[in-house]
Amino acid sequence: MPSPEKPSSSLFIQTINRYVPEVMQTMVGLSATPGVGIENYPQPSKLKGVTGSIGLSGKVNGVVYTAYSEGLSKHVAEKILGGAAGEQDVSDVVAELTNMITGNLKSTLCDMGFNCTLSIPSVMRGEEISVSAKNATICVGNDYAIEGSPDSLRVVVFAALDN
Amino acid sequence: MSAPKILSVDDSRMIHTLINKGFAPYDVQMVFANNGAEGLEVAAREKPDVILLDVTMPVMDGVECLGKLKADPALKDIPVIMLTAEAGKENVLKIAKMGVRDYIVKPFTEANVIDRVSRLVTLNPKSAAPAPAPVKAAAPAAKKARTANDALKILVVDEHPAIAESIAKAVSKRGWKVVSCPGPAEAQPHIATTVAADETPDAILVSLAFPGKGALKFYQSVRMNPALKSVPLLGLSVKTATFDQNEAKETGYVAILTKPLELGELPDRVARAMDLDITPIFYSSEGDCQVVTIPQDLSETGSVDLTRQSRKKIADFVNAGFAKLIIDLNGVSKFEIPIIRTVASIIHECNTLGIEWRVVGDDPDLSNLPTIISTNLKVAALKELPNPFPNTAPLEVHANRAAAAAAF
Repeated sequence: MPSPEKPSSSLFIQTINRYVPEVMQTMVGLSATPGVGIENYPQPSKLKGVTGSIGLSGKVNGVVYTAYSEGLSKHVAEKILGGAAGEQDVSDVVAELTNMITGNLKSTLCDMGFNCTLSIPSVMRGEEISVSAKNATICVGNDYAIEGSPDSLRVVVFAALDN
Repeated sequence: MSAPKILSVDDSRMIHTLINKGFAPYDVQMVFANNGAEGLEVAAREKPDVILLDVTMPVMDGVECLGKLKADPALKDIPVIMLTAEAGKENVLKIAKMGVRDYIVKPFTEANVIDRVSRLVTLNPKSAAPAPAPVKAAAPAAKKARTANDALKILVVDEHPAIAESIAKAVSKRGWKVVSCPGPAEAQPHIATTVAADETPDAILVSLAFPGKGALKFYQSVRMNPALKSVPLLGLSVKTATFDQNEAKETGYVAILTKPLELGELPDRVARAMDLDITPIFYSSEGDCQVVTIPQDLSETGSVDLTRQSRKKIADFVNAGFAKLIIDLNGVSKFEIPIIRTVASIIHECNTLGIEWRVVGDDPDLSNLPTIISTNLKVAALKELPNPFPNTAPLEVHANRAAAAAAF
């Protein structure tokens, strides 16, 4: 059987450019406008604020990060929950939105023959969160301008594909 | 009737909050669990009417929880709707095979969840609360009330125009409209237009013969569109293409219509796929009597569904204070299985619930209905039906409805 065609860096960017706006619009009711996207995102890199992450393991191994400023994460959480959001609420919302974005990315990869499983999401907070992924051949990232917020949402994917 | 109980199993408080908010205007009891293990405990204790089950959770994930629910005789019949961000073919096939009733792809709207749940239980607005705001795609009351008499829109995606034409002709007797597209590539922009105009099709019939698994890819693309996630898709296939048919069913096609199409059955197969109430086609009111009119061309599918739906309809008559039913068999000249099943079942239901009934018809043989039914109940297709007649004495048949009404 021929090997499946490998997903390229640009496909990863196209996929997150599709699902980040869909998730933000459907769940939060806010538009998310993608930036140009970076196909050689440096690693290790520093993220800051409230950062959700989910690991991929299987024929794709890697991590998806979604980084919000404190203000943006609170804005998004309060918009979804319809009221004041404490730190735990914010973490919960960031984790769930990361799960939705990563789940849809996973589906795209699985349909191309790159099956993988997702880890439970985790959320980190800090001013300098160092992120990287060993042996990653796909290092992509993009910023999304969120309607009504001065801050952008950053999504970064590091992944290694099975041969 | 008590308010339906809905169990939401999800590790995300955000999801619980959204679901709770979505159902707030409705008379329901919400119960929650934070993972699959808790979900099993709560399900055993609370016996919910519906379970909304997340896939990715700590302690016990949704797939394992679903397996345990289905293995438990006390819980296996509770319908489960999976919530998943993983809408890929592999995942969908996996959960479909485990007996999940439906699935909702994340991201989802509150309206989407309400729509799906309203297909399984009746959602009534809370009497003390204001009626829920009309939400596009939610409107559970409207969904429940959808009948085969509504002006429905059917999209046919088939490379052969003659197929779409014959389907259009078959469903025109119900007043349904058909739009056809020769392939998925043409159907996509058409669908986009209907979504933008809020005129999405009520059902989509798709040829399974498109190359490159075109029908399966088309299914996925339709399901990705939030406005179309609840629209049933039916496959069109030649009888011998069983592999394609099985693959389509596993993907999520709700029914397969085999070619050459049985056009008499087709509207009823589509109605069944849409879970339509077909009784308004057959039942009407006349003074203080209810009337059920049975046509000669009642299809097998129509007969089974009308028989099933008549049980509730006749019980509703009793609740509403009606006590007389006229069974109008004018035009029936040949007692085929579908007609015998339906008539015998309706008469039995009336006898059980204490509703008086009279028969109207113009065929002289109708007075032999007790003999006809008693004889035919021996055939395999009908042997489960109870005989509504204590003996085979000839039946009094009335020439018209007025005469039947006067005879009560």
